[in-house]
Amino acid sequence: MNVRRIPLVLLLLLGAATGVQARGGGKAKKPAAPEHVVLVILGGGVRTQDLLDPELMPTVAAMATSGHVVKQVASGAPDGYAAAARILTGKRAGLDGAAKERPAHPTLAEIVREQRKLPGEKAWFVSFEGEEQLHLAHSTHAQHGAVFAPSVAYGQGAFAQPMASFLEVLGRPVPMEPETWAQLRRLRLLSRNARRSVIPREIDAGLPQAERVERALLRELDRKALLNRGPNPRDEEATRAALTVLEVHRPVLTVIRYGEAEQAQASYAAYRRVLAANDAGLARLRTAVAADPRMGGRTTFVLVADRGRNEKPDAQGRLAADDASKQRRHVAVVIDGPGLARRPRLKGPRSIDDIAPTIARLLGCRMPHADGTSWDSLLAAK
Amino acid sequence: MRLRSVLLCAAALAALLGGIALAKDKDRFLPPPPGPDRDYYVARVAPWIDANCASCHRQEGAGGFRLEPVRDGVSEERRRRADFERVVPFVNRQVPWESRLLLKVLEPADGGDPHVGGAFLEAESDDHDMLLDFVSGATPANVAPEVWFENTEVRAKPGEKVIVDGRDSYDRDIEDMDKLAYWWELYARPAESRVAILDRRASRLEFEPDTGGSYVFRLRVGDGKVWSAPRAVTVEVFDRVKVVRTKPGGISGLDDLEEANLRRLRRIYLDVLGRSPTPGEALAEGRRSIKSLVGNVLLRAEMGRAWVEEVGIRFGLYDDFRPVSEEATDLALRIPAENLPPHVVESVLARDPSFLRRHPPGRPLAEAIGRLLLGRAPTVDEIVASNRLAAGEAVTLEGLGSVSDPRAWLVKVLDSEAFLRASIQRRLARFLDSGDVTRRFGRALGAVREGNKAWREYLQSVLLDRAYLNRRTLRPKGAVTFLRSLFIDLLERKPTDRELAALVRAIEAMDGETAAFAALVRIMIDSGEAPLPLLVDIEDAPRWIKDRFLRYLGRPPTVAELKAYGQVLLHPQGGPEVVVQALLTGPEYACR
Repeated sequence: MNVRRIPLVLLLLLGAATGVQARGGGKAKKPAAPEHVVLVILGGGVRTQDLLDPELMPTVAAMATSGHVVKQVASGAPDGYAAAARILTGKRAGLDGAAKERPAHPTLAEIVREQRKLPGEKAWFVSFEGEEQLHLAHSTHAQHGAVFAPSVAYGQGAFAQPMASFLEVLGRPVPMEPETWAQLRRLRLLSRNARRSVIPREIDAGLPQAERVERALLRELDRKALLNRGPNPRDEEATRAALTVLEVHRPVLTVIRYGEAEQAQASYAAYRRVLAANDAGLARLRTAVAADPRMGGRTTFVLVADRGRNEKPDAQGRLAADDASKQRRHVAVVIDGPGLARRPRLKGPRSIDDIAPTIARLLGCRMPHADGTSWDSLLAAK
Repeated sequence: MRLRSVLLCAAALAALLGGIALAKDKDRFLPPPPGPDRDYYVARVAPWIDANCASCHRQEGAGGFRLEPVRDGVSEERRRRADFERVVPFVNRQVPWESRLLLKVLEPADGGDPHVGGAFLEAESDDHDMLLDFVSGATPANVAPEVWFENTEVRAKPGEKVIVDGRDSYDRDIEDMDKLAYWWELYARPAESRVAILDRRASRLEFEPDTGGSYVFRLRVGDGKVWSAPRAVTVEVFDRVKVVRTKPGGISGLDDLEEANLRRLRRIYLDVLGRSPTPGEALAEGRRSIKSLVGNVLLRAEMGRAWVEEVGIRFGLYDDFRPVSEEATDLALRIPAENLPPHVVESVLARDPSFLRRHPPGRPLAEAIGRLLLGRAPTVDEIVASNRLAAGEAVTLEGLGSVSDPRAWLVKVLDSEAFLRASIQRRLARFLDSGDVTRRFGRALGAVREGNKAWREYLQSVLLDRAYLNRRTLRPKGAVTFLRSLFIDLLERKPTDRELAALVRAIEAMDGETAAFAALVRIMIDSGEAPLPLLVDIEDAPRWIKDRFLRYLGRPPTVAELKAYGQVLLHPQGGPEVVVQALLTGPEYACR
């Protein structure tokens, strides 16, 4: 063989070997599309400059660095409720936010549940507030509506909230020591092995997956849940509830709606404290997802403010939402995770109505009722 | 005097005829309970409703309760009168204290239902009394009396004199309660019993139960103007039962029972009554013949209540959707008294107006009819038909013919052969594995067609079958049985229907088979309500561990288990609480 050809042959062999590895059982490729999406709606109105301020919101800044930021997204909704309805349905049609009506058109969660044939626990709407704010979870649409409604969590959480009266009477449990968990694990497994032949397969007590869920539930219920005195108590409740939901159910779609940024109406300083605390909550959510072997690397986070705020605080130190600035009329969307194009080129006007169709597309669904259009160039080609 | 003679003759005749289990003669002598009064509403209730409910319920979208919209030119008086018509469907005349109008605004801790708008009333408040008076039929001139019992469940032995005292009943607008008139009825009794009420008008009822089983008495009180709604008291009579309360560190004595007997007893309790037996019950009944035990258990009012609770929860008929019809309210008592078969039990609950409210016409009704009643997914044709019915169109359905409205569809399904078969299969599945259900279905169907007595005999034969009693494999307890058993085993009481509904709702929101129950066990243990011993209270650790195994699992521990549980019991980070927690959250406790 000609000596000069050896490097070429080696190169060809190396290339062939790499090809085999990619198709075979070697190192797993990063998935082209996410298996889970977490949509966080920063309700209450947030300026783009605050959202992308790395000192105020370092987690969002990190997301923006590793993912993409879509700026100049128009949000013309008159209030947070109506804006969230637009984000969730992709419909421009105005909703009377004051009446807190259910949307008339199917929400993203309904569409994903219907088209992916998902059970209720695989799509969640987590809200900073209960009551009428939960109307955003699903629409009144005859073909979708309640039948494809997502599960909802708010306040003390999906597990603790229905048990509120029970907990009021019996009190909350004390956090358990690590040693107690080890003892329980040992005894349960012993019983499981002793009666292996007579216990039905579906009974999961004593198995690691059951303990994982049990720990998450007890974290939601334990007495620490009552010690919530931060600047954003209702958003913090939503974060706690979302953490349980993510850990217990590993939903395909999780919508988390915060609302405390509304404090800007009274105090710009309080607003900034809320944003910092929300960013810390977001960091906890991302850490929990990354730590879960079945969600880490397979989850895309989408973060959007429902509407903007005035360019500058007023003389009383309030940051209202009534001027004509771009900061008030536009919001930013930060998106990070698998399923995104490397160098997206988004052109033309964009609005918050596009968010639901884009997420639907990420999850392999379509939103035929939406007015908005999917940002296809942002997404990786399939 | 004449009336009393007639009643005595009727009772004697009933006894001669061989024991009528359910006495339905009572109310024909009394007028029905008073309904809500418009004038009282306008004068007393409307201002409160306007202040607390109108801000949400006068608009659309605030649930099923909607007050009259505000219109120009309509006086306040006229609007309040129109509101009255919209309030009346939320009043339950037969059980006024369970009216949704009242429960939706009552604190959950006082038994109120979940309400998006929150709770406004405590049971002790004047406003609560005003609303209770309204739903009980108060007028501006008179407040209706109300029956009250200190205990609505009494336990006794055959031959032991039982006194049921009605003198806690009251009337808020009269001072001298001696003026109240009483009217007792024997609503249900065991089929073999000859017990009759001798003095229906006494303030205290005295009787001697002549056989084991459940006796249900209902009392109404009158103030000379109206008669109250009836309230029931159940007297459970069992042979040799005495409540054994051992000290927390004590031994229940279950090791005196044969293991096989304890296992059979637990199986029958868990399957039929939907809960585990208390140690006292196990000791009292573990030695009686299995035939006598099965016959007795099937006669208990608790059996009917457990079944109705389970079907109701499966149908989603709780909280706002609690059944309201008289048939549904009486159903639990009729089941043991009349040996009702499965299709009748399920049909009564599905015909209740709450069922259609819970599963409104359109896709939800199609799903409910398919999955809950017929045991299968709805067909595309059924979904389309349900949508058309919701739009007011008539449809033709395969096998059912022409249907003009959603209720007519529901009724036709409930009268169908497919529903009959599905309901029998569901009931058999409570006791048998799926293979046995298929194998035994023909005989079960024949028994149901033959009549109620044949159904009861058939059910008894299933429970007495050796294959059933000696089956080694276990089956999942299911949410309701699991919860009831936890209450009995840890808190030593049964859960209320509201507790049960709230906990089922919470547990359904969670993934997995057992984790949610495990969390619940921890709450109960940490509550301090569970009578668990301190380590120093336990005199004989191995015997105490064995006793807990027998109580909770119906078997003694293996050698390895005894050793491991013993180590945890004595470990500084362990103790009795961890032993109990491990037993109640282990895989075997999740089974029956």
